[in-house]
Order: sequence, then C-alpha cells, then structure tokens
Amino acid sequence: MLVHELGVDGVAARLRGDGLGIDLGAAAVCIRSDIDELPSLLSRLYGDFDVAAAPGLFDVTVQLKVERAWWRRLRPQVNLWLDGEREFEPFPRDTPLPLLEWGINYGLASRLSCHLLLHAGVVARGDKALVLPAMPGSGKSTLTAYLSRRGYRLLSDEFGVIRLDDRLVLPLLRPVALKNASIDVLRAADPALTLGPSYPRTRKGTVAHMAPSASDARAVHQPARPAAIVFPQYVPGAGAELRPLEPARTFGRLAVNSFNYDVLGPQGFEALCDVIETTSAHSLVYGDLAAAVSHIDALMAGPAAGAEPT
Amino acid sequence: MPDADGTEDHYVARADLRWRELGDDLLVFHPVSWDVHLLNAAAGMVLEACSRAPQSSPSMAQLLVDWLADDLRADADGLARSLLVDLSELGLIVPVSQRAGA
Repeated sequence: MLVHELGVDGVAARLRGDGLGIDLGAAAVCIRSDIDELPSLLSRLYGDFDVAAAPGLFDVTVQLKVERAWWRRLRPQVNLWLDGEREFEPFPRDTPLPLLEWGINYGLASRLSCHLLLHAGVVARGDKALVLPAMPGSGKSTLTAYLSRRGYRLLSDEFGVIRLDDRLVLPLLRPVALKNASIDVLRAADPALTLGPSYPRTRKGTVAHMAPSASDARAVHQPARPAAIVFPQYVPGAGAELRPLEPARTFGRLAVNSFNYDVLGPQGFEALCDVIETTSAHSLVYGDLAAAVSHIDALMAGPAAGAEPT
Repeated sequence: MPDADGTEDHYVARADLRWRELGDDLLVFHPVSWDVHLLNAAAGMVLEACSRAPQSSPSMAQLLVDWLADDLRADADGLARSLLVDLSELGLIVPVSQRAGA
C-alpha cells in the first residue's frame, strides 16, 4: 500500500497512533506526530512511497510532539524524539516539516552503520550510479534534484549508501530539501514538480521540499553500481568545468564527506578503496546547471564512468 | 640507526596493516589507530620492503640508490634513515627487537 492510498485522515490516524511507517529503501522510518498540518504534507511528499507496517522494526522512529504547557502558547514549540529519547531542546513550532526531515536525517546518519554512508546526492542512469558528495552549501541538492528531472533516477539527495557486502549503492529516497534560489530554479525546470510549502527563516534560509517521482519511489529496492563520483561546487557566474581527481585525493574527500567512515574503520577503508578503484572521480565547478548536466551526461555515457568490477 | 653495540637495527612492517595502491600512491590503514597514511613512492617502497624481510638503514639505502635520480643518490643514506624514522614514528614499522606487536 502506498502512503497516498491511506488518505490524509488515514495518515493522520497512523501519525497519532502506532506511527506511519515508510519504506525509504535502505531504511524504514516510523513517524509519529500530533502536528495538524503534517498528515497532508506527508501524503503529498511521501505519497508514492510504500507504507511499512507499524508497529514493527524500524531503523529510526521519529516523533514530533507539540509542547502542551500553557506557557508555551505564546511561543509554541515542538519536541523531537528519536527512538524514544528526547536528545534536543524544544524547537519552534513553525517549521515542522524541515524539523522532521532534519530529525530523520540525524537519526539515519547516526544509526545506519551497517552501510558506509556518504554525505552525497545519488542519481543513476540505468544501473550506473553517479555519486555527488559535497559539504552543505555546495549546490549538491540543486544539482541532484535537477538531474532527477533530466532523465536520471533519484536514489537520494542526502545519503550515498554503500552496501558493505557488494559495494552497490542503495537508494535511501526522501523528499529533496531545496533552499533559497534553488526552489524557483527547479520550479522553472519542471512546472509539474510536487513541492511542499516554503519555510522562510530556517537555519539554511528558505527551504521547500520536492517530492521524488512515483517511478523513483517504486525503485527504492533497486541498487546501482557506483560508476562515477563528482564533487560539485556551485559558484555563481561560473559555467561548468569538470576536472579529474587523483584517486588518493578522492579517498580523502570521500572520507571527510562520510557520516560513519570513522565508525566502520577497516571495513570503511576497504569499501572506499573498492569504490574508488571502480569509478572515475572528478570535481565540478558550476554556475550553469544546463552546462553541468551536459558534462555529466558525457561523463556517464563515456568509458570513464565505472569499469565493471573484476 | 646503530644500536649501542654499533650494529644497525632492523625493521619490519606491522603484519596487520591494510594497504591499497590507488594510482601512484599507497594508502595504509593502521589497525590500531585507524589512521590512514598516504605514502609517496619512496616511503611505499621502504614499507613494502619491510613487509617482505627485516630491513636496515644501509639495506634500504641500497634499494633507494637504484631508484633515485642521479643528483639525489648521494643522499640515499640520509633518505633511508629518515624514512625509517618516519615510518617507525607512525607505527607502521617496528624494530625487530620489539617485534611482538608486528
């Protein structure tokens, strides 16, 4: 059953009851909340995802609960609970969706250590995955989202999930958090885009969430083979320039962009080396999305994109 | 590095290191610290030699002299000594006399 098939009332009932379980691919999350606007938002943004049965086993359980104390009525706040623990001070009530998404990210990044997790967007063409690791603010989400509207399958905007057993990239699909000018850029690129509301005044400026396509949501259990690694860096006014990276330098940059490389130790070391040996790695400085995409198209079509593992 | 009795100490690589050649570089994973060291070609050559058999500063200088450019050969002794000290300080090689952890 898909999330939208529950209807908004059905989603609301689950959020207030045992939880709304959602299958993201490499992980499943359970969401509980008493916030009034979340059911319709989740129906819209996660509508094409499979419902995971709750109660059940989840990688992360996130709960957003309105602070009911009478003195909070002037400045309403919500509490974020992760797996039954309240790890943070209350947050303002006015940005529930960014807070929920951030909470899920935090939970997955800190708990999903059965895989190597890179801070990266991932898209694929056929079975060949393009991994886009980057620090926040580098234009990773914009480029990832844009590629997903230009014929690439979206696997994740946030997590490059490398399965340790076979080094394949697993989808960990979520709505893409677009920020500031990217929101209009993507809206212009695809008027049919499903976008959540814009939230001004978040820590990262204005944030709006883009729903993945139905076909991407249906493919969350189809892994892809890492074929190319591109480290994007958005520079206003730049065209697009792709430069090859030395393997050892790629290792350092991937390790820095990993959520759990230091937790995995030798397994992380071997996995990173294997991925680097079977992919091509480049840095991409871009200011022009269309030019960046044509470089990436050429890279993914060429022989440099991923030698078959031997 | 001569011992007190004037003989050269010999070094071996830790047996539990993980290493991978990526391009022209050697990445070495230390199993205790979990640090990864990026070794240049000369350091990589010394480490690999130490993984095959115990090596001293003179034996390493002999190996390096065949590999170094003409103008650097005169300093092969100094380079070998320096590389052994560096690799030893990183815990990648150990003197044979302290081989228990290797």
